Amino acid sequence: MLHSRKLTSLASVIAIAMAGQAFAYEEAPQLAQQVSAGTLPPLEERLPAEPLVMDVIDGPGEYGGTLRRAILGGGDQHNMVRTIGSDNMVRWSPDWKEVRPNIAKSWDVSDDASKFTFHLREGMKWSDGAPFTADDIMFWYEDIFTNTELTPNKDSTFIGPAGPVKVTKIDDVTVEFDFGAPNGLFLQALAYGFGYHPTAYPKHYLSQFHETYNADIQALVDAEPAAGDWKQLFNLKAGPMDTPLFWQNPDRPTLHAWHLTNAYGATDRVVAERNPYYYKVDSQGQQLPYIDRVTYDQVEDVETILLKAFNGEIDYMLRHIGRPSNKAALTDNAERGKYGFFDVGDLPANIMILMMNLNHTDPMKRDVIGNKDFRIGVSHAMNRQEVIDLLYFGAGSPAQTAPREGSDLYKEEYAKQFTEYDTDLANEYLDKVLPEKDAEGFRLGPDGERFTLVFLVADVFGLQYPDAMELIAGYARDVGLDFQIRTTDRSRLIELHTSNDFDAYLWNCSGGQADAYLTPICYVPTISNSVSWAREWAAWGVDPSTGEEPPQAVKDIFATYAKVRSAGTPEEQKALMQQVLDMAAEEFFTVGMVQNDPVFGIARNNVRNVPDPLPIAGQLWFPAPYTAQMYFEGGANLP
Amino acid sequence: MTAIDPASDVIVPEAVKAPALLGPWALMWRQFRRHKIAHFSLYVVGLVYLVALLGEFFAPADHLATNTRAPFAPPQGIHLFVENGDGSREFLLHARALKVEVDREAMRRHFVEDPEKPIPLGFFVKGHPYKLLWLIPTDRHLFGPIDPKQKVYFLGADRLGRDILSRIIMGTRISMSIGLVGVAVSLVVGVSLGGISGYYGGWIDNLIQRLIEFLRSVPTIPLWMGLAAAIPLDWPPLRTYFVVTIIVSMIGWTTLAREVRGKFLSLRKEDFVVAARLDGLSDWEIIRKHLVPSFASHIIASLTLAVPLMILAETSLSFLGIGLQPPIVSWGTLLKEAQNIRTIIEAPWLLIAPGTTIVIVVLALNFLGDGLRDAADPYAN
Amino acid sequence: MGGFILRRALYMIPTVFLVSIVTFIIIQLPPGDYLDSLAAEMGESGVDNTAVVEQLREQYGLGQPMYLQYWKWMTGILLEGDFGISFEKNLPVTDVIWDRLGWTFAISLLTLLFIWMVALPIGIYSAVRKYSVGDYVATFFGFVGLAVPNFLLALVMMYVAFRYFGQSVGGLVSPEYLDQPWSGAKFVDLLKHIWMPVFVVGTSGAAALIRIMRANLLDELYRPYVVTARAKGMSEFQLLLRYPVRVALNPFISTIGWILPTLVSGEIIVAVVMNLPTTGPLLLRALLVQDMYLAGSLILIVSLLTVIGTLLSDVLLAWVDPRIRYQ
Repeated sequence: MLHSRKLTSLASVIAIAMAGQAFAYEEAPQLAQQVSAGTLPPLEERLPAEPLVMDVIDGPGEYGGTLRRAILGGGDQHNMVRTIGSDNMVRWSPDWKEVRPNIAKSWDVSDDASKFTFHLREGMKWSDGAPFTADDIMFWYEDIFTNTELTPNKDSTFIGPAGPVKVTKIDDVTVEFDFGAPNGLFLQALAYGFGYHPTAYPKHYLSQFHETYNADIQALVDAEPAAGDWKQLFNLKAGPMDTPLFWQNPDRPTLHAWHLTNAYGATDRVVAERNPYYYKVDSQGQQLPYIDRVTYDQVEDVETILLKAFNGEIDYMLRHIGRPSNKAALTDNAERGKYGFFDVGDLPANIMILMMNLNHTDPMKRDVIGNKDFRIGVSHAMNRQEVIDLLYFGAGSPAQTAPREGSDLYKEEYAKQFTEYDTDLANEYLDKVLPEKDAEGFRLGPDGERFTLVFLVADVFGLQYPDAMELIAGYARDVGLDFQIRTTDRSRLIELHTSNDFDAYLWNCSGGQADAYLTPICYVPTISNSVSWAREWAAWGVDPSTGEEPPQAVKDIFATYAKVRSAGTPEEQKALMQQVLDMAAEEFFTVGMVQNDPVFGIARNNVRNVPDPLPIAGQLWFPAPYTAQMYFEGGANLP
Repeated sequence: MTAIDPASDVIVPEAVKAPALLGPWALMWRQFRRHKIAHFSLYVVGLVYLVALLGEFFAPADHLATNTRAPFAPPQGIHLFVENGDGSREFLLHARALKVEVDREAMRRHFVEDPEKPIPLGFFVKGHPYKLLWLIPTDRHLFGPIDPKQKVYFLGADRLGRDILSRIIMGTRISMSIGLVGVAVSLVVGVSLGGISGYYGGWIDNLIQRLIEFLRSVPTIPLWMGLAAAIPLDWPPLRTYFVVTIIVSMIGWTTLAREVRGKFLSLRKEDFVVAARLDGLSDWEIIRKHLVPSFASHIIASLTLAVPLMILAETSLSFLGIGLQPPIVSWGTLLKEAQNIRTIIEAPWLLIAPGTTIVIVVLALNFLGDGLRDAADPYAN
Repeated sequence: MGGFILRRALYMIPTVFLVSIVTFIIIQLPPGDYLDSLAAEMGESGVDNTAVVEQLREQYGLGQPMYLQYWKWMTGILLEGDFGISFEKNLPVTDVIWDRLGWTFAISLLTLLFIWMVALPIGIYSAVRKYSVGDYVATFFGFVGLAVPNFLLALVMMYVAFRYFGQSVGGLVSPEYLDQPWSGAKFVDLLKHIWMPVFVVGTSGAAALIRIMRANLLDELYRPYVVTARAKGMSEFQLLLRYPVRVALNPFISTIGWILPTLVSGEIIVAVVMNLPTTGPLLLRALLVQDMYLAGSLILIVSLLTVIGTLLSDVLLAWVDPRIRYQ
């Protein structure tokens, strides 16, 4: 029994779409030339029957110009993912409040939120002009997602409480995602970055690299020096979007607003040209994107990006440069570079967290860290305001790891408990756990030796963690705790914490806003690449035959969060999530330090339709769904 | 020779008494003193090592102490006179307190010296407690504000409000000792392998030459990076420091070994060596008693020239992020911290101060080595 | 002479072999592998993507024992000229490196020229006019060149170029020429940029060579043959160039081989700061993310060229100075 429950905004969008059809569509002059030269089909044939009418930010724009950015020589694929990559079946509204139609023009949800039926746009095309239909989604589902050789582990977006999704084609423009059990958070998940999968695999192009469709696959494998078998070949051609692979294959058709013509890493500049088949138009019927192309100049050092910005060689960017430490220098050169600032709501649950290992392999350390009094003592010993003043120019507030003020889930006690800087109080709590001290004033562990925690720290996110760690170690020393600092690089740090081979480390954590529902990684023990504070419990949570059985309170958290995922309505989800947060706050898993103020990005003075403030988060790959509606006033870059 | 200080020649009686009996060392010294810049550099280097040894005494502040009021505070001048209310001037060695204005929008602090608020300065003042030479507990410092609660940044402060002068002084200990330890390692390895190679010749020589050739044909940076990345994380910073030192010293010994070998090759045919061998001296005795003294001066010169190379190597390692780690402070880590556009624009002293220090010390060491090399051959002229 | 060359050429083989083994060990020394680096990069989304990492583990043949990987790599190189795959670029190493090697050599050669052009005359002057004001000035600037760390000089010069000349910074050509084919204008633009890295990398080398030239010439200047020639009334300039300078040139020739790895090493840091399309940043990046075949091949090629360079300079030296042949 399917009950149609359309969102109100959806109806209005369709209404505008209908209105849009009343007058003729327009296209970029560049494309019009190609049409008249006969190298491109006319616009009406390229657009779907019902294009998505974008609600632009300032107003309809004009065509022209190149959006110039910079990219690091390696490992910076998210630079492209977050500007031109993320464009999924559904998208988040620019204020990150609701899920809106995108590639799918509408959807129906079953009453129990277990079945999702998506209606695609008739006549929609890939960037090479081939039709995009339900068959492409089925190709992803049948030949990639359920193929255990290609996908040994499945992305969590498409795994519901009862297991992986079942996708069925209803007709050419209708597909059904069936989870077999309530999965109320699925639409949200699909709108986030990793929801890209179903619409990223053009069957007409990729099937030639797939064993099932190409009997003579070996010939292609032999011709490709970087591949040893068909699976390697397929991965090369159809790599995941958040790896370099995706951005190294310009031949792969996409549904993105700009299509890659110069691959990442091949030359000094990555170039993406306008996709003439893009399915979005503005309210005047002008086909998006307005901007002709997007370029990423390859640089080796973040400092060079800054200099380029000062020189006016960057049109729109927040990545790498939007850090408090750069604000003064960027302000000084704003006139020279002809750019201004916009706010970026990069507001995680906490930007600096002492992740102490609750599942330490050493039973002595585990007992101490596992004692809530110890963590409370550590928390009271931290002079958070000094850290904020010294490192972030006062742009932040002392806080625990918790939802941010302004988000639906915010409660003051989550954020503010134990954040008061009070060494006497800290000593009082610590004396309950580690009363003995040695001659130098350091506390002794239960084994009679000095109790030492080695903190791993890497210089990541531009947040000056190594500096912060020196301050933190100083505060710890003041209450008799020996915190040792080991500075390392990001990949080594991740390798150590994911193998549970660590005492403690400094990191940030998502889940400060709406993403708390889907990435509660600091409230519920989760297996994750970025956060480990109870890895063994997390493993148990996934599969009780692995890991280690957690205490009852943690089991309750697992159980309640499972209910959040299966809840059907937003009201139920919120009530249950609040329970999870209540319990997590009571357990006090991690010691948070700072919740930051919004950061910033720069845009040249004639760039319009810039989302301001722009929310971004670990999974919210913004501004990608909204880059297409940006334009240059005057139709060209400022000189 | 106008370069000779006439007074010293007259006053020192030995020089007059028996010039013909001067040993090689005295001859070398006499020659060395003629190289005035080298002579001067000797004192500079001596002073630098003294600073390294007595670091805390010279440092006006605790080099790790942060200050929320002083991030990127500019260098404060030293003033001699204060103006009284009636306009008269009075001698008072002082610095001026900094007034801070905060520009929240641009996230910047403006500092202005306030002539109304002098901070008296003095010598042998009380400051943070420390142990002189790791032994004697004291809290006296050579120079600084008389009131220990006041803070003066003679060379400015870094992003955490730490005193740069104190950090440079404390960094001297690490940087200069890396040079020394590195050279010591080079000396032992270089002289033994070079000596063996040159004295025995034949297949041993061949083997060692190939080894040197091999080591020199691997580009150093990747070699360092690989080795440095292999340092286990749980090592305390001090052990990492020694490993870094040894890695750095690897660049030094090959050159030395080649020089020593060359010397051995040319000397082993000399008459005095042949005579010694005929006298029945063992190889080891010949090397120790005759060969090494005959080119010791050259080795000293080479070593002096190797020290600055190692200091610079350490800065390169730090730049690549694979050298020393905080809280250890070296000149390299100071430069690394200042290696960004923000610093050049907002706080150039963070780059200039350690940069100048490195340049001066490396210059002094090079001049010293140069002078020693010139002097090492006292019979050249 | 032929025997000498042959003997020296034969010595090369074990050296290169050793270099290849040590290179391979060095790049494997740091714990972890490329996929760990990739996982770290992807970790920025804050969610678990071990799914993708596991999917790719097989992709790169990681997890085989080291000697097997070495064997495959070596046989590939020797039999097919195949240096393996760059994990990060997903291209054969040979496709990635030649362009960049070209730039590296162009810059190295220019640097070498720059060094010689500066060091030779100054070194000679410095030796002939020992302890004169000119000598002191030359020595001083020479040592300053030695004393300023390369990366510091690079950053400061870049900032000056940006601040006072309004030049686009980083790279070898301005952004507007990046995609353009070669033209006169692009070449001029290249010249505007390339002198900076050449100067930065060259200063320390030039300073060192000034010192060597001066010292060597000083050794020769007071030899009896010079005195004899002078006594016979030869003009000072002719005398200088004909004999002592020629002898003092030996170290220039013998350093040709060594100078290459020094320049490549010096260039790594400068290229990162100045954003040059050379092997430096590529190598640094490859070492950081453990893109091992790329890193290994780059080190191997540079080492190999060094060994060849050494051979050439030895042969040249033996040809210039026959005494060496029989040592």
